Amino acid sequence: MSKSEKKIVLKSLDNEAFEVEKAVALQSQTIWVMCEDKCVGNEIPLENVTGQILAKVIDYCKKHAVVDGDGDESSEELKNWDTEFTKNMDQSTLFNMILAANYLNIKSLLNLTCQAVADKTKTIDEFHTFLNIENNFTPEEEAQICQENLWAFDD
Amino acid sequence: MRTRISNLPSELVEEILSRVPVKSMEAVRSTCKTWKSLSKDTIFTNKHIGKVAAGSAIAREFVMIKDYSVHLISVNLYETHNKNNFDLSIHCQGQLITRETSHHVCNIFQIFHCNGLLLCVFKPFKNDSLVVWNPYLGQSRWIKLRNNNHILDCSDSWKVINATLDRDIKIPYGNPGVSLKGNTYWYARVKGSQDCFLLCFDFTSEIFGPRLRLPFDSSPECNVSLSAVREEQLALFVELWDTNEIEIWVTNIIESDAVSWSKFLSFDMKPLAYFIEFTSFFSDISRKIFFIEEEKKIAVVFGEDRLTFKACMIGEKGYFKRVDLRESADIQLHLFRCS
Repeated sequence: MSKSEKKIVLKSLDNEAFEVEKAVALQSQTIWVMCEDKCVGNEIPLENVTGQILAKVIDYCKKHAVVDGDGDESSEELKNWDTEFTKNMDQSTLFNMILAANYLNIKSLLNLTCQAVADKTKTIDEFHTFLNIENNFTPEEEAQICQENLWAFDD
Repeated sequence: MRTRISNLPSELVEEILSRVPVKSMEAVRSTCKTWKSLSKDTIFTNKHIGKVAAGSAIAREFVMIKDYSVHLISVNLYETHNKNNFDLSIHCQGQLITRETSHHVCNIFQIFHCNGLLLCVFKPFKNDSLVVWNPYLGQSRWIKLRNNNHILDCSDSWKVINATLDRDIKIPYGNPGVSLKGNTYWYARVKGSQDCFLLCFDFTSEIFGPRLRLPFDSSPECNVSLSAVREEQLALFVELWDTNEIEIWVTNIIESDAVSWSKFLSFDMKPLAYFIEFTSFFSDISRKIFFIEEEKKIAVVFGEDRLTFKACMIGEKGYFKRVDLRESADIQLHLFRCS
């Protein structure tokens, strides 16, 4: 296999091109299927992902790729890297990462990003503010929920 | 444009919410109408509990009573950098609170767990001293007591059962039953003899099943405790005083009318007989609660003596390690899984 065949170009929604090792890109089941079907050339257009998000996805895939024996990092280190990776992402970026991971079908990244959102939200207030969810209960319904949840584990 | 959670398709919202700790489900239910109905949806609930159970393969959750209030504790057994050496990390995840003004949850002195429901017994023990709580749905029901055996089911009703025990059966004091797949099992003995067996109550047919064989037929001098493994198997902890050995057995098959065992671990106590840490752990504590870590071949044993709450780990090739918990007395641990 020549060197060029080992590389692949991913093109984002806003026409940003990223040249990556094939092994890195193939962690995405979506890209893997595209390559298997030979329905694309060496350049793959990803119409749902912006360049900003795609860059992050590629960072993740590079870290998690096993390329020519480079992937010998311990699982502990990888875990720490994952934690750092999502730690400072704002809410909007996290949601975009979830959408991208889902579209590209990268299971471990979807797990990681969904877990990151879940970990950042624990109380009702956090659900309302961090996730921008509107409270659409009537006062009566709210009272009823309170009645149903009289007992709970609390910090 | 900022992406909000409302921009995500519903299956991805479910992916996120199914990773929220069970403890935060109340917050999820109280956030909006869609999430409230989602949190009560059986498919979602099963998915959520599946994820929680998978997560608890690493950290196990226990319910513990300390100073008459109920705490949720997570226990994590991990291998230290020094291979084949283990350590425990224990964190308090939360304390049981109630918003009721008429009753306080600070007087609980006993707690039973079955199928994800917790039965809390209050002190002083009176007619209204029992409450059943579903931690997942946050629902609780008080039970009025009459003198009999009681069964409680998920439809919030309870009934009196008429199953009677053979008169010659004795369940040694301090040996709580273990609930597994809709049955409850006790270590039982035959009065006036050394014969022992496993007693099963089948909640479907509401009768006590046939006496089930233990890996040994008679137990002259021993301490026995039961524990559930992944809600699928039963583990048996036996301290044999005559041979100074600990044996741990795990079931291959466990039904209300059939059982088979295989040995999980043998531990020779003799080499440690003069080791003060060990003897103080095993001789002072009569009632022990344990769980096993199948892959690491380790058993973690908890117990309490008059003053302190203790834990130790035993494993293959005589591995023993005492864990200092620095906790006070009045502690009960129950392996806890929601369902």
